[in-house]
Amino acid sequence: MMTFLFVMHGLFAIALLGAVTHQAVAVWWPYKASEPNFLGRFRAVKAASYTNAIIILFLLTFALGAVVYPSYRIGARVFMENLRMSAAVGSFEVKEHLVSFALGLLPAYWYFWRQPLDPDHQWTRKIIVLLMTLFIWAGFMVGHVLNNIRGV
Amino acid sequence: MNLSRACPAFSVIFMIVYLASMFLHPNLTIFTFAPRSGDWHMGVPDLGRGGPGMFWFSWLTTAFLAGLGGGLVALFVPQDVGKKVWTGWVWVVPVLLTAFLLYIERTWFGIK
Repeated sequence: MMTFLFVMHGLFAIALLGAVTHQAVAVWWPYKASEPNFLGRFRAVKAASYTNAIIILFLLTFALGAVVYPSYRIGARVFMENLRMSAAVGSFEVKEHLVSFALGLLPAYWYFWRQPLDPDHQWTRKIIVLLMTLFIWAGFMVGHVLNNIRGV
Repeated sequence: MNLSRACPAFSVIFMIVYLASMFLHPNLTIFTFAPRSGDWHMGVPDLGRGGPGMFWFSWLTTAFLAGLGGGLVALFVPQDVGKKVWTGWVWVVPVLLTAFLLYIERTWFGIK
């Protein structure tokens, strides 16, 4: 059961990564009509339409992560501590705090990204989605590497 | 309901209190989860062979309650005062907290 939940955690995280990356790239590197290639099409999305999906995917990913976390704590982490893999253990410590920041940031993210978008908050919106993207990417990369070291 | 103040206030207070709970551990830790037994304990007990204890759930709970309180208080801040508060704090605070977090966690990576 725990393996199933862990796989679901990973799958939701991948969907979340895609959504938040689309949104961040669309606002930080807007599409120009002169670039009808793959990168251009990747950026040519309506950024605000991703907001609710990102919030729901984040909450699902976070909740599943919280469910499998105890298994990591008494399994994978103890294994890494015994091997004195301090950087690996520390990476997870940083990950848990960064995704907690992202959880706290969600209400503000929702408020500044709700439609219709307020033009006065354009920069706040851009920086919040950048932070969310960085936190989510950091969480994903650490989780992925640690799972390669020792799965839950 | 004025969400323009409540949502950013919740976010900023949540993040500050979360990091404070972690940094000041065990002073703001309300409860401990023992993953081996699946038991929840008030405070930070010595679990002995039943350890290790997990405090993350408590830090999140503390931060959530503080954020909720802060958000509710923000609803009653007069509109003219609320408008004077710069909305950029909602991203400046997590940037500063992240820098502080990386500083206090540096020892895991062999940095003194």
